[in-house]
Amino acid sequence: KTAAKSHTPSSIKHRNLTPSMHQRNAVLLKPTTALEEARARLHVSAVPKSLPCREEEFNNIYTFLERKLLDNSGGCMYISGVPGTGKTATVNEVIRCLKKLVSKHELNDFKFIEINGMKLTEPRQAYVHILKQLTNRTATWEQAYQLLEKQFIRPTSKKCMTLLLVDELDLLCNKRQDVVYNLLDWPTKLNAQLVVITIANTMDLPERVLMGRVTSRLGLTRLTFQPYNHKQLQEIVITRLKDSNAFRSEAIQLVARKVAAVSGDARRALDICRRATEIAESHDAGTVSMQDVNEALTEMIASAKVQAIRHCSEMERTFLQAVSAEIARTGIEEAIFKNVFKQFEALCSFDGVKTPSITESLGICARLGAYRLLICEHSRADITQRILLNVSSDDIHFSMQDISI
Amino acid sequence: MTSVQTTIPFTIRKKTTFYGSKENAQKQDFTGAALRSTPSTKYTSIVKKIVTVSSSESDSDSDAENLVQARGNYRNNIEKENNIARTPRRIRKSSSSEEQGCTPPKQKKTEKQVSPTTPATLLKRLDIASSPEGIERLAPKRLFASEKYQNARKALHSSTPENLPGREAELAQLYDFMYVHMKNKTSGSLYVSGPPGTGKTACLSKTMLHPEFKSSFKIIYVNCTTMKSATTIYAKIVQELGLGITKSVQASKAAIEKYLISNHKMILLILDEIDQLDCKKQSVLYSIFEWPSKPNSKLILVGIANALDLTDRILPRLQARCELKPKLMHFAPYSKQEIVNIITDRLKQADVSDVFTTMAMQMLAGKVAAVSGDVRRALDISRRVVELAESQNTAQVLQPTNHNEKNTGSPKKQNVHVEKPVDFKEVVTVLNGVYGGSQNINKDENTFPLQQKFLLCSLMLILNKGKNKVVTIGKLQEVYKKVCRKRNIHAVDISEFVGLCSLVETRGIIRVSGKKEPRLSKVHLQWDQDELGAALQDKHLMAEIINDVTCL
Repeated sequence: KTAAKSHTPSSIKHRNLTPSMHQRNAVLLKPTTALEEARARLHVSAVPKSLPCREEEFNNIYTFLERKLLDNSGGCMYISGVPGTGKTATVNEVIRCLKKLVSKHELNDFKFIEINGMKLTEPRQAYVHILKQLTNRTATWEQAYQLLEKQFIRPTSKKCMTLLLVDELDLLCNKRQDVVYNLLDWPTKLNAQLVVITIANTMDLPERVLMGRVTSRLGLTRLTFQPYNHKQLQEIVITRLKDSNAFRSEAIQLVARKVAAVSGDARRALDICRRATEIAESHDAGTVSMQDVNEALTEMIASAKVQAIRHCSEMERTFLQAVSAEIARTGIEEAIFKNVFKQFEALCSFDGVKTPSITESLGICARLGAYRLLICEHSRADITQRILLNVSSDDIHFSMQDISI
Repeated sequence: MTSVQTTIPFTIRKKTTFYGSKENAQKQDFTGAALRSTPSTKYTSIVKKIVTVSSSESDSDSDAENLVQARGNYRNNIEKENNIARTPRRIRKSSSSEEQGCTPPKQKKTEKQVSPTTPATLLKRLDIASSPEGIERLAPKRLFASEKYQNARKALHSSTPENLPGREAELAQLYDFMYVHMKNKTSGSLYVSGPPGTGKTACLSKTMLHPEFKSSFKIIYVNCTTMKSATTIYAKIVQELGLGITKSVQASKAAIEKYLISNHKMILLILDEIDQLDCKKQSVLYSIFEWPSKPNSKLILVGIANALDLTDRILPRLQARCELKPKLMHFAPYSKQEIVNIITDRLKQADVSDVFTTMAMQMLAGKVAAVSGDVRRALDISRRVVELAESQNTAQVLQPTNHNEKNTGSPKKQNVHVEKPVDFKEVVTVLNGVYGGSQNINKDENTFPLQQKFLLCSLMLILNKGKNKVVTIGKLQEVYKKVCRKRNIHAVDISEFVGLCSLVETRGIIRVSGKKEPRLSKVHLQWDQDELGAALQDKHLMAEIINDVTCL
């Protein structure tokens, strides 16, 4: 038994066993209604065959990579853009097209390696992951680095191009930036035949974070993905739905406009659409109408703080009022508990309620701090602790008024 | 209904692609055969020429490349063994009309590989191995005219070339330094500094390859970014010296020092990016810089880094003893003329020197030299200029769709007949894209989300008219809400607002510091207000908000 135990890790290490998952017992049901169908198509993970509204970027990346593959020369590219603007999807689409060309024998074969900074526990693990995808071997990062160095620097005649996609580049930047340096230094070697595509969110990452010598190697081939505007978001949703009539067109337009005004994030728009289908289902409606979308929008772009204040106990609300009154009095954002307590006493007597004792008030303060309606110091400081308001005083007034009516 | 409708076009598409691919494959075969039969006779003569001129190693590659060029579809599959194996065989069949497929070419290959064992050919091979660009350089002479851009692109790749124009003085200085020490068998240290992309490593690796030095020195080149930590450098040097494996840092250091005082061959130790060896008391750097002054040590130490005054700043104790002080050598950023020389030299070697007009080149070099003098940058920009010119010529051919089916039909089947030199216009376009800075981010289309515009306008309002210039997110949101309410627009709440701030931050317009408590973190404007105004492109809205003191 012990022998078997010791065997498994090594066979996993040498890739003799492929990791498998448990199979489902029941068969997965196919979507039946139009709404379910729409929901399945609107899922973020269902990447469509063609990406609408990213033709220009697609062409840019495609021509860059194709030329590099035809030339057999290395290079780097930096792609930036806010989340949900289709960066990774576009690159993957380009790779798929290139792979198709390879299968038609119109292009030389190439290897495609993908690492994601977010999936690495430590920047140097990047070497291990690259090596694993390149040669199916697992090694420590030092060994992996040595092997990769050998692979990319030694001149060998039989070598094919390697495309390396580095997602979330900013997470690979440690203090010494040696990993980023090495990843970007290999393409400049004559024999490496390595093309590195780096993706990050920040537009000015090379100038802001990276060292001069890394920026110099990163080069100037850069591409920025702009956030989608409302027309583009509308087109994205419509192409996903194809010809199903699960959505009314004005409902889609509302989602697109609302999302484009805030972030231009396609994931967000799709999420809201999916939530709207669920709401429509709960109403037993066949199509998603404006009301459903509105409900979904208020749910997703909801201000929970007013609700939270409304559901506080009376004394807690009065305490919040006292804090905002104290801040209004002093004009400083930071209030001290004993001054707030004075205001609290005054408000309580104004309402004709018995004032809670100091200890109870400290308890109220701590509770509000735990809700994050207030930011307060550790209660060890007792009556001298400082209190900050974490909601705007307008919100407090707004929620109080509603209750009194 | 819908599901049925979707499945039908899907299958049809699949069918069409399948047949289409089949037809394509057949067509390709025919065209390939036709091409092979006609130009092979033309090309073989040239190939023979090349065989006589060049060394034996390169010929297999180059003729493979030739034939590949002739086929048109496969351009540069030197690497793919299948094609290499297949294409020469067929050609030889047609030329020598032999029936057996496999054996004759193998024999020929072995013959050719056996022949260069004579010392003269070995020497030739040595040269070419040191400069693999030579192989590439053979190709362009007999290419189609449309391949010009491709060659230019290849020639402008940022790998190290064999000759370095503009660095003759430095090379001579390096040579003299090494030569003197080699002759006298004395040790010395040198510190080479300069901004990135000025050819420090290229110069040293060229000096390193000098046959004279190669024979008389034991050369160790270490790039210090590859070290795990500063102290692992000792283990690396021990390994390079071949002293066996040592366990601890102390042991390896002792082993090196013992080796240095013993009788040994002269060592040339080059440490690239030496500032990575930075550690707490600089003990590593001090001890390394002390090695040359050890009695009987014959060590030439060369350190490379970006900082001009690294040795003075972090190693002040070296000043105390004259024999410890390293000789300093600075690589100045390239001037305009030097950049022009480098680019023309590279283009001339690839035989495509007419790709650039002189004016365009002058403009490019002037701009780069004025900003950084980084030759990587210059090469990058020139390569992109060539790419831009090329894509302008092939614009009609490449369809701007990303349907899988359509795009796979190779977009560059037609050869471009007009290959005019790159002009001023393209250079200006690329330079504006690179150095234009923030203005050109939003130039084409109004893609700034509305709420982000409001956020930035509120920030500008506070900075312009407000009393307190320290802006927290909470305060910014208060103003922003008032601004929104005045314009009857739904304002987002605080959690969404924090997300909004981070989205604007990715554009580099603002910086949010102190992330612990989102409401209290401070917002700093990173751009100039004029610049921001140009980026927002909504003068009317901005003017309205910025002068609205009532919102404060």
